[in-house]
Amino acid sequence: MLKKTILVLGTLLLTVAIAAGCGQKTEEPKPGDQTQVEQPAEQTLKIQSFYTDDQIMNLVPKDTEIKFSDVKDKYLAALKSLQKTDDEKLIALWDKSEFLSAALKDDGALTVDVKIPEDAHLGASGEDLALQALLKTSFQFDEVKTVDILVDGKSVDSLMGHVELEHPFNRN
Amino acid sequence: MKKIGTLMFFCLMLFTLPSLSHASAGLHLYLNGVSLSPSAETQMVKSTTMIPIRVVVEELGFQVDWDKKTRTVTIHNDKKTIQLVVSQKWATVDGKKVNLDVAPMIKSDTTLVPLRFVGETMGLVVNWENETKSVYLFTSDAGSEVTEPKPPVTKPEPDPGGTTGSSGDGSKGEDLSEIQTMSFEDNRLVIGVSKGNVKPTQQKLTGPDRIVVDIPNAKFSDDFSKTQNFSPNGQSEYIVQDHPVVDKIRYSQYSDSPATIRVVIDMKQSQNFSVSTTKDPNTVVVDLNGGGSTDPDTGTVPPHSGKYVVVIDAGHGAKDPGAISINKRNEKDFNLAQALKVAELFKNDPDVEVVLTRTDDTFLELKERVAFAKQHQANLFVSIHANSINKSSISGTETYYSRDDESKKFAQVMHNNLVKGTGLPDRGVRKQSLHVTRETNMPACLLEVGYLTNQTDESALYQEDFQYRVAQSIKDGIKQYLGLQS
Repeated sequence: MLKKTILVLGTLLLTVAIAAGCGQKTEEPKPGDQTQVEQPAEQTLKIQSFYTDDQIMNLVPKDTEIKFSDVKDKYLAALKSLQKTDDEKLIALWDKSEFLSAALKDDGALTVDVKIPEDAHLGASGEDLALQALLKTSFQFDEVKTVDILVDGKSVDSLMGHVELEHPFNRN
Repeated sequence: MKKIGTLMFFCLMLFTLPSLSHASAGLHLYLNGVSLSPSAETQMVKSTTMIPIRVVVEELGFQVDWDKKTRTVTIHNDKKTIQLVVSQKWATVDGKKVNLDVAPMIKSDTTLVPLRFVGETMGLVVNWENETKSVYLFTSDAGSEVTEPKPPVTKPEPDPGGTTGSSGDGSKGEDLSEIQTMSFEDNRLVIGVSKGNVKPTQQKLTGPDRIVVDIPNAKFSDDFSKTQNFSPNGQSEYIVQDHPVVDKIRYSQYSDSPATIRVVIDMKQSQNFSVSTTKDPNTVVVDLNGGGSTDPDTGTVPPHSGKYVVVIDAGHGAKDPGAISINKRNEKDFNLAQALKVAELFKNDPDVEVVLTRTDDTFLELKERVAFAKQHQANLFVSIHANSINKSSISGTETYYSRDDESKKFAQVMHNNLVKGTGLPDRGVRKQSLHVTRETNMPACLLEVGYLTNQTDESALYQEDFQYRVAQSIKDGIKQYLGLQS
């Protein structure tokens, strides 16, 4: 009987733990936080995401909606919106690349780490537009003062071999 | 003292002040030793001295026209014409385009132009003295007649060096070139001389590795000497900080009869180099931008010989494969094969010398490609690429340029020919800010021959006969642009 209770209790606890783990990423409670772990509510934000037309001529802004629970994840969520678009007339320039992280420091320095698989390498205008899309998407947030783009954590000269990277790019 | 010499050298070399951004209280201008009326607007911008065009007219005596509509400044005398456009980082000298470090600008209704560029282009010798924040300008005839330019009447600061300067009493009147400046920047040692007819000789010595350049019939100018800390054996030196291959640069009056200046570059390793001279401004240039390793057979002396030099740049290479085609072929391989075919068609051409940035599967950074073209003093630059986009229906040929100068026209001519060669859809000439076409200083374009992500384009691009057709069209474009018979 006792054993059974423990088992049931244990299973219950485990379920709770898994459920919590499956949910939103919970932050480590900071000192001063209330003892009860607050489950941050998922936020929705309307932003502009940037794509190109099927002539690969221009950067095309499009209103999109991003969702995130922690405000820190806003930038990564925004950049991930560049990876696809429902608009058939537009091309998502980052669809084959991966955004590994996008972290903002207190001084407004956003560091974006990307992974660009070989089949994601674009031509000259594709690269330039992809870079502009990333920068414009990031700089629409007023708190972002600079953007430093890393490839697999490394500071490199160019994303795809046509356009140079600045480390960091400053808001114009 | 050595420190002052070093510092001085450093400043001479960049004509630089690390950080003066505001109007230059204390910036002095002298023309042939005579102080020019101070101008509040004269200022340093990114270590370049900018002067109002009023000073160019009134003090330097050149003629200046200002076109308000196009914001173009035209400066000319009977020999030379310079055109500068406000906010454009290039200028034309007698119609030929050159890049500027700092663009002309308008500050409180005054148009400012870069002093050194304007001065040297118009034939003045421009020297910067950091200690006194002074710019000394000399007309070239004054430079050759007056061996000892009159010192400025008022010196704002005492000469902390204390060197009385070995004023050239014995050497007056001799027909010697004067070494006026030395600078080391971008792997190039630039020695400013007062005359354009110097004939330097060069040697490469080992154990330890060093480059020796002798300049016959030359001496150090008094102004230059004053900035130097010559040791008792008559040698002065400049230690190059944190340079991968250069340790230090030493120089001395190696011999008095005949008067010879010897410059020795102490190297950390052996390195190819080239020595050349320029006129207006008169300089001797020791250029170390010549590939990392030493190979006595392949010197890096540009293959001049009276031909046009065209740099063909096969994009990407080695660790950077470029785009991957739908059949998993690498862009870098197409680019190289195509570039090699262009070079093949130009072999034995009487008018054009083609130089390739790479002839095998090696990697160059974008800036190395630019440096390569500049080092070879290329007349034209063509970068060969193949395109890629994540939409397989897109097909065709595009040509890119970055600068609205001759590059635009060059790109158009190249594109017209290229489209005929590829037979693929014409997707037009496009302007985009790409490093190699923007940072080079000769007409430059980048060809995206076709789309590796499109089935039709891709299968064509890797065929030999297609590549030969395209190579011929590139050759036709180059010859047409240069006005040569193809």
